[in-house]
Amino acid sequence: MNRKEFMEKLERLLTGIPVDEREEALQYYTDYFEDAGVEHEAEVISELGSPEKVAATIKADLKGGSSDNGEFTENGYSDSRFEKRENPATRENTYKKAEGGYSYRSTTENDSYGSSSYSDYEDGSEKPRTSKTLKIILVILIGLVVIPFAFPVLIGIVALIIGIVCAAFGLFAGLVVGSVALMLAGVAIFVFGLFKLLVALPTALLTCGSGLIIFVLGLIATVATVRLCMVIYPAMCRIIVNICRWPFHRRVVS
Amino acid sequence: MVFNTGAALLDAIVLAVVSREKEGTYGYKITQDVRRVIEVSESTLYPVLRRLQKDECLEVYDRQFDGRNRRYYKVTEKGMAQLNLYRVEWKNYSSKINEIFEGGVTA
Repeated sequence: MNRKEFMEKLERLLTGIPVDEREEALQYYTDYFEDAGVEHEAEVISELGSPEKVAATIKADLKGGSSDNGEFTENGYSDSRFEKRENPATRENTYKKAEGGYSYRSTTENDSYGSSSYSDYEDGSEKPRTSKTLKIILVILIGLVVIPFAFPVLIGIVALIIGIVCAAFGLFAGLVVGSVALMLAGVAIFVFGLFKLLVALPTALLTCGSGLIIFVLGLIATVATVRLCMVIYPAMCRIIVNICRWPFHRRVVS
Repeated sequence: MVFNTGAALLDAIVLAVVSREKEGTYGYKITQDVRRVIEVSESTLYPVLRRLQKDECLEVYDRQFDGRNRRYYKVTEKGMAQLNLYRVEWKNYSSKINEIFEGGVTA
């Protein structure tokens, strides 16, 4: 890449910023190349790095307008916003910039006094040393530990709920069956009484009468229990459906 | 250098470098002068100069040189005040550090 290409690329990369800022920056770097002279052209280009880096430095400064994003180490200016971290740092400070609203990390290889330690503009507060990945790993670990216990318990709870539901269904169904049986018993007793009619009239009348009463009671009970079931069963179905949907619902909401 | 240069210190160094030239100085020379003292990459200084210019610590003007316009930087009054503040701060800071390093033998 020669100077012309460098400047053209830089100009293209700076299209997003205000015109006066762009012209100012381009003027500066044009001057810079002029003053460095043709003999230093390659040197300057390699020192500046890529046009992308230069543009990023300019843009970052325009956006943040802040003076304390990076620092100057023995390796030159290092700013974590453009820095590719190749080697593990022995020391990491994480600051959160108060008014900027973004956080950045400054990495130094040396155990110095920390970044810009003498200054009193350091308005950052320490962020807790937890990362997103760490959190995810922790959640997975907790899950792995809990699942073997949680699974049987969960199965137990589900089985219990199914049992209770079946019992409730059964109870009401039983009431209906019982009422129908009572009705049938009434009929049977009435018929039995009719057979006795020729043998012993008073006994037959008593038996028939009781049979009729039982039949009517059974009929009333049947009607009542069927009505009850018609109300209870749909309600129960609704409740069960709601319970089944609840975990998914909650996930959607949260 | 083992120690890191914070943004404020870089501002102070740039102001000091520019203030040495009565008539003002230009980008390339500023970079060379600063790089004689601390190791900074060449792309570092433009944003610093631009910011100092916006903060009215530096003023710019163009002057003919070699058949073209060259942009010169000059320290303003506000810039001088800022530089003096930095000088005082630096003196305090460095003397404290010296005290600790050299056991009371302050420079």
